[in-house]
Amino acid sequence: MSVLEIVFVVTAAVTIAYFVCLNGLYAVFTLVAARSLRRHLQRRAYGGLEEAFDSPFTPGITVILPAFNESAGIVESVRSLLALRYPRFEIVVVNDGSTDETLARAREAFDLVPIRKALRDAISTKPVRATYVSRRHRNLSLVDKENGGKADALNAGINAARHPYVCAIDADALIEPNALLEVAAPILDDPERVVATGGIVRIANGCTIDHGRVVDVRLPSSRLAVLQVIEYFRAFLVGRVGWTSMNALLIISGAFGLFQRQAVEEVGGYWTETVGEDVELVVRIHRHQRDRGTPYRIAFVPDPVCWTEAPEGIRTLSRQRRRWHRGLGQTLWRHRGAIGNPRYGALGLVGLPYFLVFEFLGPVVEVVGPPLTLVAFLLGKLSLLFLVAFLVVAFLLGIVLTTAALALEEFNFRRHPKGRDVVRMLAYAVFENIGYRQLNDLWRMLALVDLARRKRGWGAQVRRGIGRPSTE
Amino acid sequence: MIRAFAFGVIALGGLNSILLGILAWRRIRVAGAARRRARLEERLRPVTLAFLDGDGELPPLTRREQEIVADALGEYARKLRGPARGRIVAYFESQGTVDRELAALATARPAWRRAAAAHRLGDIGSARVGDELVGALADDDRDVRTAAARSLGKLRHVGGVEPLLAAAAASAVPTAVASWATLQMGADARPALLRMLAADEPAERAGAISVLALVGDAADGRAVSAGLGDASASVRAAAAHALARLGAERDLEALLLALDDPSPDVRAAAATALGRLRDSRALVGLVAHAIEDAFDVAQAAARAAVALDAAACARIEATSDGPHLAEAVDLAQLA
Repeated sequence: MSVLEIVFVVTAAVTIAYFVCLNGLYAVFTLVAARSLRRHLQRRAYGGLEEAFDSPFTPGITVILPAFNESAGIVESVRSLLALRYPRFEIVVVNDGSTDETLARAREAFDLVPIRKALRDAISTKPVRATYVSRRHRNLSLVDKENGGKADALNAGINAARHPYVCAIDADALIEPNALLEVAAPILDDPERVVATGGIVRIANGCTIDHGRVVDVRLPSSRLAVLQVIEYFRAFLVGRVGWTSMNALLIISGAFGLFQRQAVEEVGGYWTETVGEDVELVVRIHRHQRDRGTPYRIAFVPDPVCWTEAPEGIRTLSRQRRRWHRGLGQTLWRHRGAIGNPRYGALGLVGLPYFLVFEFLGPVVEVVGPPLTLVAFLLGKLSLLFLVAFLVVAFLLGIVLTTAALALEEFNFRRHPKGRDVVRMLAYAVFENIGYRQLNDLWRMLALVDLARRKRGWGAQVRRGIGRPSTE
Repeated sequence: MIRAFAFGVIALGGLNSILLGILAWRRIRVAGAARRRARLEERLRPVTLAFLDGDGELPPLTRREQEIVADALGEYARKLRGPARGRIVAYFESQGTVDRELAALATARPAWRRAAAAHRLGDIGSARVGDELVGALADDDRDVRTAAARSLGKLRHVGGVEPLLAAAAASAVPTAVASWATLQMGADARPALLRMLAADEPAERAGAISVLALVGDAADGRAVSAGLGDASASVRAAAAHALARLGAERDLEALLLALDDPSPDVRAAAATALGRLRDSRALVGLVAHAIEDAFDVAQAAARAAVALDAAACARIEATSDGPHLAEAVDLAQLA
């Protein structure tokens, strides 16, 4: 056997092993999620959330909304936050040097007037230009600062926070009225140990939005957005529930995450040198807590909903996915010492290695593997029947896992009332595995190239404002 | 190997078909059940409301109808007091529901069933279940304990005050829920709370002071102010917080001393309390802390100082570097 033949055969073997391990892990996570979600829903009824809402002893939360050129949606976003049902909270909007009308629109809509707000110096940030407080809503303030990126804006928001917990929210997101109370549930339950929680992100494209609230849940007309709806079910209801059960949750979405302020300050706030500041912060908090040897928990809560606008154009989606992948790569590189390190428990031994092999390097296997497997077949090292059977099993398994994620949603939350929408999602489960997934892999491969070329920054962001028709 | 793949294809295809079938069946079943329930609720609402108003007894009902009426009465029980609540309790007692739920609370194996029983007993409102709910605060499962804590508050079972605060201090139930439950008992909880000021555990003493601050009156201020001399910083902070509501002129000296406490929590709480006392003798100390102390203390001290004398603070702020005084002055001008 020549060296080239050995390479092809080894690649084929690696590809097959990769599919078996990845899908096997997802199958296990699906079973874990089915059990966890059922238990969570049973517990939800008796967790005393309504009483916590009425209690003067419920800890306060500072909601931080970083905004860079968000003039299209800033007013709706803040309005949805003002309607949050939580006993004690404040909203800090951080205008990160926007060059559009973000500041003017916010000031006009909420009657924000300049005041000399005292800011902590716990985390260094770009200079703050001015601070404002709303005359109408005394729990709403705005920090106007020089542009320094999302992570820097979040750090400025933490410095302005008055409450012991901070909740980071994307400016293009809408938070359901009960979501803050629900995402805080694990903290109210166990404030000694829980240092961070995150809620589920759902896609608002296609939904009817009134005064900052999603009032009718529908599937978007854009095929690309529907595929993301399904993809999010898998990521949140299966992936995050599964990782939470091992206390190895690496991702709390930047769109909606709640943190103990002290825990964030102790690790120095968000890292400003990455585009994946949400993942990186969570990994750093994990490491800090484990280094200190204090018992802690980072949890995903499946019912508090954050609605967000999904990209409907290929180019925007491609940019988003490349950015996410670069962020993951930067995080893994910064925390390479924790990968496979038993000192970090499930995080070091399972979580980080999984994200390295299956998420970060996965696209290499998924993009390069099938063509090389095909070559191995052409060289006569694989039988046609084997190749076809393997591909069919791999795709079928993917479809079963996606259908199972949809079933988890349908059994536990049932947020899509229209039967037609559910049928459509089931049909798209096929395309998610054949076509969309490969496209994603291609973008993530390009992100590896971006990383090699040391590309930085977020790239252009196209925001039409949540609930408004697409022009793309 | 090929045979294994073929088996895999058939198995996965079958599994997917089963999942699709279950999804379709559930959609149809849930929609049908919701429609039937809505119809029944509509039909039974007038007799349920008449029963609550004392205009008649409930007619003979089928098992399904009984469930729906019980659910409706459970919902109303959360909101009603007086004779209507008494009729609800009598109804559930007559149906044997209270005994059934007590049995479930004591013996059910699944924790969720015990939690459900504890929760329902609070909604029903029968006064005879208080001791069993206190016992449930020692259940192995946190949800059962939390549901029991909530129900003790619903029942206003004064015998639950000490066990509730002890459970919260031991982190056995969420503090927010245990404190809420104790607050529901209002002034009736005061004797137990005053007894707890002598508890061994600092967390219990601190919890009792915090609740006393909300249900007590000026007469309790003296007992609370003794907490400022406690060895535990959490108790001293709770006492200072409580004096913001219960404090009187006699507490001025003690609070001024607390402004120099080693714990920033105590200093911040003392500053807030001094602002509420509205005694101008505290101004100098508050301004000093507003300019020099740690962030949270300085902020509380600045706001308290401005509450005492906004004009003086504006003059001082114009010649000093303290950002907290500037903020407090600006906020006062907004008001």
